[in-house]
Amino acid sequence: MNLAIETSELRKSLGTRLRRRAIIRGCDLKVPRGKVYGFIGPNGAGKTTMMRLLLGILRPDAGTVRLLGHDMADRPHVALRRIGAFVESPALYDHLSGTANLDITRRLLGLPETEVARVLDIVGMTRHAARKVRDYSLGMKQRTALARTLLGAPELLMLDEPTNGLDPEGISEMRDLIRDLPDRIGATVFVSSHLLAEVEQVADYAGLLRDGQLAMQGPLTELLASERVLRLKTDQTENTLRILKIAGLEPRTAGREYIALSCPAGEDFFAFSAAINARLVDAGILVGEIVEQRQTLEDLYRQSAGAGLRKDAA
Amino acid sequence: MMALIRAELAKLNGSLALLFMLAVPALTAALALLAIVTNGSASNWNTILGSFVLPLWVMFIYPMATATFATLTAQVEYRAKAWDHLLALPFSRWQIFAAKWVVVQASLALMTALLFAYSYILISTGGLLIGSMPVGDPAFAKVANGSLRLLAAGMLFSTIQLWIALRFGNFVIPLAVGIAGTLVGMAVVITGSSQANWFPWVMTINAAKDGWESSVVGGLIGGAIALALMLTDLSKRSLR
Repeated sequence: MNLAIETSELRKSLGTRLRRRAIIRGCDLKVPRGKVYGFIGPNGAGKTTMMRLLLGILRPDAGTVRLLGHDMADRPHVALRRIGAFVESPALYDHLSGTANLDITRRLLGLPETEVARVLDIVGMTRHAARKVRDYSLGMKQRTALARTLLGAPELLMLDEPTNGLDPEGISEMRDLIRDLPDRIGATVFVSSHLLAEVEQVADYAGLLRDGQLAMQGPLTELLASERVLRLKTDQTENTLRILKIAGLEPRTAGREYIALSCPAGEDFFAFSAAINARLVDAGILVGEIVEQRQTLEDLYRQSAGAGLRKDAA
Repeated sequence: MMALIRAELAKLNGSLALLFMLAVPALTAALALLAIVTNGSASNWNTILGSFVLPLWVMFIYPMATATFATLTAQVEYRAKAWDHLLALPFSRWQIFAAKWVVVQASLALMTALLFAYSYILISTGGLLIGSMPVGDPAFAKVANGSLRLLAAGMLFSTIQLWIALRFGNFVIPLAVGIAGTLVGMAVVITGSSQANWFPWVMTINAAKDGWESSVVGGLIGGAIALALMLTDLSKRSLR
């Protein structure tokens, strides 16, 4: 696979010498080129630290980082020239206009003057670009910061929590912008977020960071299809749960009246559903609804959290 | 490197640091104007510039202005939370910090030049107002020579000030160092002690006196060493 980002056994601890805490604990990230990769995890999981490690802002304690095929331990600016990034906050100078902010980076990258107008147009900020950034809303700042990452048509965009602090409309606009970027400029987009539903809507690939480790990673469709779940509603919820448990299954309540049941790996989902239905009907339970429950990133996230807790308990 | 220096200059546009750079020499010159207007007569240029403007600048305003200007320059990045963006640009880290150092040193030189330009204009205006123009020649060559000595001797403490301002996000720390350094320097001069000629804040004051050579050489060599240490230290740090 042609990778835009590849890390191997990446490790980083932060803190004082006496109180060091492992933030990244052996991460093997694989981000394919030309895709949107959603890097998800709860607050404090280490997403921003990972982003700073990838960009060479922090030096890893161990492991390697390769961006666009270039080893970041060796002259990182060679790769950084082909990357646009914003980490954690828009990082704009309040006393300057949007245009002036972009112009500083444009000059640093040695790009033509027309480049600023081009990227402002992409993010829909042309009309407001002459205003001082201190007068911008947070959404406008995020858009301007995104425009800055687009300067020079980078091959890889790295966006850390680009929807942070935005209202629902701003989130929706930013989501549309990010989703269209691979087609519009041909770039790989690596976007970190703790908003799972947002990532689910824009990403082709996803990686879940939990406690400094990748809990799962892969194409989103495969991740979401990795476990098929049956959702059913009966007239006797408690009895249904008991019967299914006796059958050696692990049913769980989903909402007030529904029961969720994972289809065991390797088993045909249709046959499994039919067998469950028959067993309940034989026991005199009326099955009102039996459907496949669509998996979401949130479900995967919860399962990974549960697995983590079980592992900790063990 | 030139692109980074130009970017640093562009960041100053419209900033508090630029306003400060332009206003502080004007306020100092305004004090000289007030002095001659209050006095009702202007003595000669040599006395006004050499015995009032320059000592005031060297002993108190220049070190305080250096501390404040270095702090304001560093705060441009800290307030915008722009370090991550800056350090993720395709430049070596030392170049990013070196560009800031160049801009601060150039700004301090410009402030000193502006001081004498403003002083000449305001004192001339004051002389016209009270009907008594200062006599003699402003001796700009001598003033320029004194200013260059000041800047050279001040390279050590101005580098230390910038280092601390860039190193700590809390602006109180570099300002406190600046105030403490300035007060210690003044105390050393007032007590006439020669035991603390090595103290960076004293070097600038000594550069305006006879036997200035050791202060200038010390300031330049110390400044170069401090710059190398600053670039090495900041290049390894994670600034936020």
